[in-house]
Amino acid sequence: MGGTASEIAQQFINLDPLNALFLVILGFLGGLISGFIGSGGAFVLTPGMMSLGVPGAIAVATNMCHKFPKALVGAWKRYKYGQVDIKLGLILAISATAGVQVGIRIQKTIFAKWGSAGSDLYVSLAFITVLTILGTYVLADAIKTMKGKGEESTTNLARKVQKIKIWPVVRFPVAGSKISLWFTLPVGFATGMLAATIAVGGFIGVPGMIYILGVPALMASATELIIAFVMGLSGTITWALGGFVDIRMVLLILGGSLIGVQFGAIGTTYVKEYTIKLVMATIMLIVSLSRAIAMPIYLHKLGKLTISPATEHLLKNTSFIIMCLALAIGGIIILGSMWKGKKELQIESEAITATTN
Amino acid sequence: MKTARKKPVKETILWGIISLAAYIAVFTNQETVTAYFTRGGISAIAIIATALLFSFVYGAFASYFLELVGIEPAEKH
Repeated sequence: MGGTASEIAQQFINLDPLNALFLVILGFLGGLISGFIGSGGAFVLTPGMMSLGVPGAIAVATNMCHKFPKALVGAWKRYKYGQVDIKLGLILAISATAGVQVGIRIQKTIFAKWGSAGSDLYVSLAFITVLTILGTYVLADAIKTMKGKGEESTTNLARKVQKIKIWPVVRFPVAGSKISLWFTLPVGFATGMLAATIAVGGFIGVPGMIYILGVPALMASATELIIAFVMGLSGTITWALGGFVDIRMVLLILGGSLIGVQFGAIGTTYVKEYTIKLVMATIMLIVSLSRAIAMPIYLHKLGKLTISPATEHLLKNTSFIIMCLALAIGGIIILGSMWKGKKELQIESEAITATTN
Repeated sequence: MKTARKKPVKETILWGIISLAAYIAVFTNQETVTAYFTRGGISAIAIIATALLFSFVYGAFASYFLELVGIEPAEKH
């Protein structure tokens, strides 16, 4: 562990009104994205808090604690729209919980051994690797669907997976598929491990459900909220036992995110399925770039690289601006798609009224 | 024909006031709250309970607020 609880509390930042407002806005955008793509608030929240000077482990712990209430509210909202497969969510959540515990153990070891700079470097490395690889894949798929008829098709891999009937095979009524439990286990475990490391498990969970288990994007992103709730809760207990959670920041983030998550959930009822993938991939790739730019700073703090204070300042600012851009672009695509969808529905409804009169 | 639903004005105000009171209670006692919540061990329960309480209270306000300003799910035809 990284010191006693009171030593950790001393690393909590001073919250002035500007910092507080920043967290509320970050919370809203993070919530908007989570409500829409099922996860991803922490994309922006963990690095956002880190940009205020919060050490990586406290940022991850605090984000984990804000995640489960937000996921609960989002899941409830999307359940009302018939998009959540509770059974699939709970089964994935069980193996995700195991993944979370392993991930947290690794994080704590790094924090104890190399301190906050080591923890920051590790979180950033995980961000860059996972987001670049999966972001590119999801983006390519979204573009393919957009250029096609706009209809989603089950991947070959998912079709093959559904054909393998190793006991126990479980039927998921809402998602409309039958899958051997042996395939849901690794998807869940990887989701949990990533969540404990960078606080965004959905970047494995949602593509995993879509491309391996054959669940439609809309349903995968909604079901992810169940996993997020369960592992957020179990992860919070573990972090909170060590005193890592800053409840003030949790409440400020929730101030924005509980509005954002419901807004994002409503947004999914207006858009085409590929929009979810498009938003997901765009944000993943931009945040990955933002973290890559900040890498030399952490290497410098660990004494592995020498950079001038001016360069450090420049890298910090550039990384931060790019991260804000990721947020803004994600938000604009969601709000823009909602606006477009609303207009189309209005025109459609007017046409129906005109023909029936 | 569309029937106009009643806007939840009273509900939004009620949950808004409760939420605001909860936030004021925490932030005017920042030091005490932080000192207690970072003790670890049993204080983890207080953290979970606080986060859940805020999600119910403030989540309800947010839901009514969005409905009040006309942000509602699409009615697919």
